[in-house]
Amino acid sequence: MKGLILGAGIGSRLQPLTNEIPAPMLPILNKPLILYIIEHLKKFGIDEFKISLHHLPEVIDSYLGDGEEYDVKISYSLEKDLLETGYSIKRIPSYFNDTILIHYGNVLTNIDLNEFFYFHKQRKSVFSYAVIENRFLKEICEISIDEKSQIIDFGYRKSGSKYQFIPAGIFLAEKEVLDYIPSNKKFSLEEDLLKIICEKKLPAFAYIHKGDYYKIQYPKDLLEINIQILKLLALAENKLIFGNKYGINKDVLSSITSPLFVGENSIVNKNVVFKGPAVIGDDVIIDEGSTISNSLIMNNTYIGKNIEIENAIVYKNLCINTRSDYGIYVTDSFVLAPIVKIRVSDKIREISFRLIDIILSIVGLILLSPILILIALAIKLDSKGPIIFKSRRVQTPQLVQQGDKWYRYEPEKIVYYYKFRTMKIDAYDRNELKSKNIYGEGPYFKLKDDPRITRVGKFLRKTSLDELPLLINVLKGDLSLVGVWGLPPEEAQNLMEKGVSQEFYRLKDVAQIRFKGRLGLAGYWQSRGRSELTAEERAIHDAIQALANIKDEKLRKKLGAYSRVNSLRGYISLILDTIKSVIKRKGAY
Amino acid sequence: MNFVEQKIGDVLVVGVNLARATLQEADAFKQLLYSAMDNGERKIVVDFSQCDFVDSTFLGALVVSLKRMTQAGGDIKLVGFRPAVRSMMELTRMHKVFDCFETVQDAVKSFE
Repeated sequence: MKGLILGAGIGSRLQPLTNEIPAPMLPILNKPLILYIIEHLKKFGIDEFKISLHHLPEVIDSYLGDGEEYDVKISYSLEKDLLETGYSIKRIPSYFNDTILIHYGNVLTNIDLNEFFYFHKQRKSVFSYAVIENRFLKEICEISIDEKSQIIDFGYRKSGSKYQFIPAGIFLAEKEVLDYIPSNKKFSLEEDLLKIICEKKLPAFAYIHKGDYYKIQYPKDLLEINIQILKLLALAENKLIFGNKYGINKDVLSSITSPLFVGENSIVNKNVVFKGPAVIGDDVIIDEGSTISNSLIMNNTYIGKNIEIENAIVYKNLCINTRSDYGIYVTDSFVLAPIVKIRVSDKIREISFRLIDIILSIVGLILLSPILILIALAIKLDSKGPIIFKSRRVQTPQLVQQGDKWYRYEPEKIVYYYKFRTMKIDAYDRNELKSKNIYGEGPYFKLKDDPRITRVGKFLRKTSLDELPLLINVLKGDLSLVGVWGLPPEEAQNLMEKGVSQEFYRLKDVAQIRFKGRLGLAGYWQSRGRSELTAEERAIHDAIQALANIKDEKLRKKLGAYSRVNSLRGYISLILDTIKSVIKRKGAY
Repeated sequence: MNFVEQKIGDVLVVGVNLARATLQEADAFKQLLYSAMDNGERKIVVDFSQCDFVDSTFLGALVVSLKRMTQAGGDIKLVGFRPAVRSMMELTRMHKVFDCFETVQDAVKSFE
């Protein structure tokens, strides 16, 4: 059986914790929640996973990779729009060749999947919900079931009646269920699907889970689950201190009476008191005289002298210190986290870039309209076939490499570039053409005297006039005026797999940076002679161009002068440089 | 002088004496490295400690030279990144293409 873990959500109720960490990556005893989920499912023989991603996808995929390290197979389904849980399964029909297990990325249970699976199969269910008894929450719709556990109703509890059930965030699904889910529309596997199930009386069942159940929905849940699991571990193993205790002061170590977890490289100085259980991440320093109880202190944090922390989460990379003789007292479900600044200047910059794109592309299209019409006529008269040619260009390639491992993103992002058709519509032998590539054996492909090109096409290419319809793409917002040049799928895939050239394989990582950038017409490579440059030079130009799209403020500060590629002046000057280079006909074939 | 050449043992150290190493000087730089290679230099260290900014064309020249150098069986090593240049090198993964060092001495030593 295969698993699908729903990890796309933004986790807005978990903010500020989820500003930088997606919910499935939140730490429980310093290990991401999603790893606990994968380990649990693996116990029942599920070793192939797909993880749906949207919010901070790189945090999850760079950690898990293709799953080899965890002895499972992991692939990713990158969702451009957040259309809830139904969409997450609707968009991957090919993944359903059998029953699949769907698991929320913020839920942890000890559910017996063998039993759940048997329950599902025995009843010939198309969709089964693992449910829990709803003893506490009153203002919420509940699932009612008949004596065979079939779902018969979904709604608010009738006054006077006993509590019913709510979904636990774990489901077993058959492919048929996809027929009831609309495409490209917000649809939840809970409310929306349950309504349809009740209306159409579908064979859907609810399996009652009576064991442990944790849902991390609010910051306090994260604190609770950390403390709870630490306590359980302490009971099970009959000891108090877990993790790396070498950095703990000896006197403190001998005074500990409640469970404590300490990550790697963390230091606890003298006279620190642990009044209750605590979970401490990696690279944390707790300085003299501080008191900690019932708290979670995340990675790379400094807790100064005489600080008291009780019932609180201290987010990663923080420094809590005071200059006065008095200490600081942090308590009561407090989340101490940095403020994420939404830089107004960033927004303004982004909007002004888009405005420049819109204005210039409209002005361009209007000014050039007589030429555009003439070209269209010439193409029509010169050879048979359409005027506009839609060229597939890759924004994000499908295969991604992390270290030595490959894994697959779905779907690859494709933009259709509008160009004037410059080639005959007859077919040619690709291998024969390949031997004439000006880049030699490399990933890029360009011919100097291409037999496929029409007479008008030759002129259009020479003058780069064939690219003019791209202004329509810019107007539509498919690409910007400034950015990296979109590669055809074959070139993109080659670049991912083989790098720039065989003898210079190590440049591959550099070359792949380009896929992090926005697509655009003008750019470093485009303005610096294009096809006159070697593949290596091109790779570097593109990589630095892509750097312009870095949003991280800290990184941008570090980059100093390089961030000018992201300034308005840089934007305009690149457009002008590219136009100049095109007019000089540098390197256009 | 935009570029200062100095010989330490059999290693040629080229100091880039420019706050901004950009496309204006990239060609001259490439010519310099190429002619050094033609003269039989196989161990070159490029010192960027005077540079706050190295543009993509300049880096391009460097990489093309490195390619030629590796084919000839030699190596080009880089030293003296200022913070912005270092960040750029790391972000573009260029630090994996070149062997990079803190000081000229370290780089020269690494050739031994």
